[in-house]
Amino acid sequence: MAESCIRVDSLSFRYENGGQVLSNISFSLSRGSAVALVGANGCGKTTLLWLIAGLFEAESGSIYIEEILLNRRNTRTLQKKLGLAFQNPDDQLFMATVQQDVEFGPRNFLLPEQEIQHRAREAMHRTNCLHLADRPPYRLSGGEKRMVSLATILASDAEILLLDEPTNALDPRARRTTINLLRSLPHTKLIATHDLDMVLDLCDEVILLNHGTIAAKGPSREILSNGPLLEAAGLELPLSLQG
Amino acid sequence: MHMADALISPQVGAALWIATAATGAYCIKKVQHDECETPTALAGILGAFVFAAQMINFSIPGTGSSGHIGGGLLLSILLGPHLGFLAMSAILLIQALFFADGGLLSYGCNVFNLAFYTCFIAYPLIYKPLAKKEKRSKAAIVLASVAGLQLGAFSVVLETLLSGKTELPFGTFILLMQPIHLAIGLVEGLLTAVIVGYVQKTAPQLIRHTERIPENDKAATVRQKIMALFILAALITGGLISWFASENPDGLEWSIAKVTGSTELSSASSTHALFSAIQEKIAILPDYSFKASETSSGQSASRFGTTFSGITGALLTFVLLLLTNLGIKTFSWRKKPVPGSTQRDNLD
Amino acid sequence: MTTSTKQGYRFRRFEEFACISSRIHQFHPAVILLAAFSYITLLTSFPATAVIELAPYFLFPILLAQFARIPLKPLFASTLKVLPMILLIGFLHPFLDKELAYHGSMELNRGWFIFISLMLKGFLTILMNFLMISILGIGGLQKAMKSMKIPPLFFMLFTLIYRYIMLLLEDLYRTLRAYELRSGRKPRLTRNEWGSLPGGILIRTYEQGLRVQHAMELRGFNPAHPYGSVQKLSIPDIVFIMLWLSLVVLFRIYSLPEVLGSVLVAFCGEGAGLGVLHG
Repeated sequence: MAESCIRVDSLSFRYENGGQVLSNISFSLSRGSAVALVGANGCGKTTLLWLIAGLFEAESGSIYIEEILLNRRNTRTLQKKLGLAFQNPDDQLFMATVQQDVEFGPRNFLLPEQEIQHRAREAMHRTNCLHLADRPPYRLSGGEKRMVSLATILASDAEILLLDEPTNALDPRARRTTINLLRSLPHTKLIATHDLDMVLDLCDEVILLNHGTIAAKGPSREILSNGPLLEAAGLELPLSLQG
Repeated sequence: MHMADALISPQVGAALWIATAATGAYCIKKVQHDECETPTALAGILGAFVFAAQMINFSIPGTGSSGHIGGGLLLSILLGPHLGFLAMSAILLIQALFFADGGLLSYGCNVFNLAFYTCFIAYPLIYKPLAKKEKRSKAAIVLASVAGLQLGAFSVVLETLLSGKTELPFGTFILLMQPIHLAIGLVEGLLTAVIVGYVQKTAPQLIRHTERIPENDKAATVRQKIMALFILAALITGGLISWFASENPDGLEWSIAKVTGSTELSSASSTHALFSAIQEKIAILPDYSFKASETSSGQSASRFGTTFSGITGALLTFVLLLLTNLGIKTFSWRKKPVPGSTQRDNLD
Repeated sequence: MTTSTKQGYRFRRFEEFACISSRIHQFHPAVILLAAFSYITLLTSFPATAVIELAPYFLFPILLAQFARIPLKPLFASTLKVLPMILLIGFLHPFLDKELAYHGSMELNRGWFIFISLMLKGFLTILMNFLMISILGIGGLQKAMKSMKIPPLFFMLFTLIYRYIMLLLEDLYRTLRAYELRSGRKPRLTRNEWGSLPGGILIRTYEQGLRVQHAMELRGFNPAHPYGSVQKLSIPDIVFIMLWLSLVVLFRIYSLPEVLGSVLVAFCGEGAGLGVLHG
């Protein structure tokens, strides 16, 4: 059995002023796998990513990152292994230039200057952003911001990528570039998305959420070709599978 | 109210730079040890909000001029006075550098005038005690806003006159500055009150991120009220009552006069002469009045000079007290571990 | 052009100037900051009535801009726009201070000298400020802050405010445009809207602030830790600042116009005398 990279056991969560968002969620991701989290708006996809990233504390249940139980004391250490790409890249690009943003993570981990620059250069090269290094983030297009936000987490040398709507608001070419890039990365990937066609292209497995519970999980093609199942969860068949 | 470099002398600029830097250092220490842990990013982004809000000018009825929200009070309410002060300092630095709204040399003055009074006087001494009762919170915001701006405007007058870059009479300068900033303070106060009111209704968790007002801490409330009364009393005494101060010699001078026939002793040695010469050069307010009062119409200049020195003396005394208090607190602080700083290598 | 787009344009223009390649741009940022600060400090230390003595101080920003290949026209224009604030303080002096004063044989009300001196000092200090920021840009400013050991907390506040001003201006712009389209008039907030419009933007800002804080913490941000390495001073940096400081102090102590004037008079006086002798 492949070593589990992320394991979630009976996880439940409720916001302070709201109702139950997640209820009894259990699943695991093996190293190097790409798994999609799909579901209608408000089903808890982003919340689940944030819980795994240690930004929220669960009401009950446990989260294991590389078989280490995530708790308050070791959050900062385990967060080094994770890279979370936010739904809105503007939440993630807060420095004055792209170069500074990409170098931000390695700098805060107190790496030597040479190592910082090497990592930043390599991350920007992989995401095709080298030419944007001196540009301020607010001057970038949506697609460019997405690439740079990916570069920021690659530079931090995260082993596990948590991606929230990575193809949101991208034109077809930028979308294709993003998918190709993600496919080339050997990292373990957990992707929250509405882009079911990308899921078919990129992900081995799918976890279908419905009102905060897991409605189904399994191989992508199997789940995403089940029309009634998707409809019950507020979704439709991917465009490529529609008649 | 932003002061330009041209209006400030290096001495005044340097003095206020030192005061601002010391206050900033105190605030940074306080924030790093703060148990409330208001996020830095939140402070930065709210600072950007205040900056953007400052770009909206509102015309002030009847004056033909316009004003905008200053933001110091709003930041104090949302972030607490210490982080609010730091955020305002950063805003003013950006304004000085990129918009020449204020200058490099006068930066310390601008931070003091626009951030210190709102964050450390208006907010804790006027807003907090009054805002405990919700129905008074709007009035508290307006009063605090007006007070903060009035103190700031008065500081501008003092700093400009002390710099000697202008020969505007104190009275004229005050008449130019205070009324207009009263109007601006009222508008800012009303706007801030409405914004805070809306936020309190829709997202009360924002307000709770500030320093928690100790509801049962009666001693703190009484202390704050007494302090506010003392400040007011000092200002009234220094500003108005000093007008009627007797010009007869005080006890020491009377005694000297009885003995020597003059109210002052003549200096015999060269050392005395040297220090007298130095004192004459540096005394801004010899005999508690302006140096150049002989060139203007005598009595009114003399009266204004006395008022000026009275208020200055009161303010300087208060500032000295504050600084001493801060110094004592800083040196007697025990270092607390910064939450999260030791977690990095702690693997279960 | 709306206020928000004007302010955005201003930020971008400074950043574009900061990307120019010149020898001046290669100096250590702290050196540029010190040069500007020393210039402003010594300029403002002149007496209130100093006018002619300020003339040599024009050389510094003009020559610096030339060597930095930064066009002076836009900087002049930006500086002139800010001057009215100093004008407000200065314009009363000619009316209030009628004591006669002399510059050489030039006789004027003292108030006029003060007014002209204020305007000149204002112009030069603001121009030097804009020039400094055009050379440094936000990146250079940050490096200068690091080398001056400004605490990371303040450094991050400064960076975040700078970064998010642009976003917020755009948000503000979109909100006001939506208001205009839906109300059929220019945005002029009524009393009922004073709370909800800015309040709504504030709440959105707050929520974004929390998300940004999370993003920073996920990438290891800790305000107690120093941020990054510091650029070291080089020999050219030291030579530049020593030369700059020497000249700035020299022109403060000795009035160059008076020195040149007396040399010229002495020369012409000698020449005139010779002319008379031979004439």
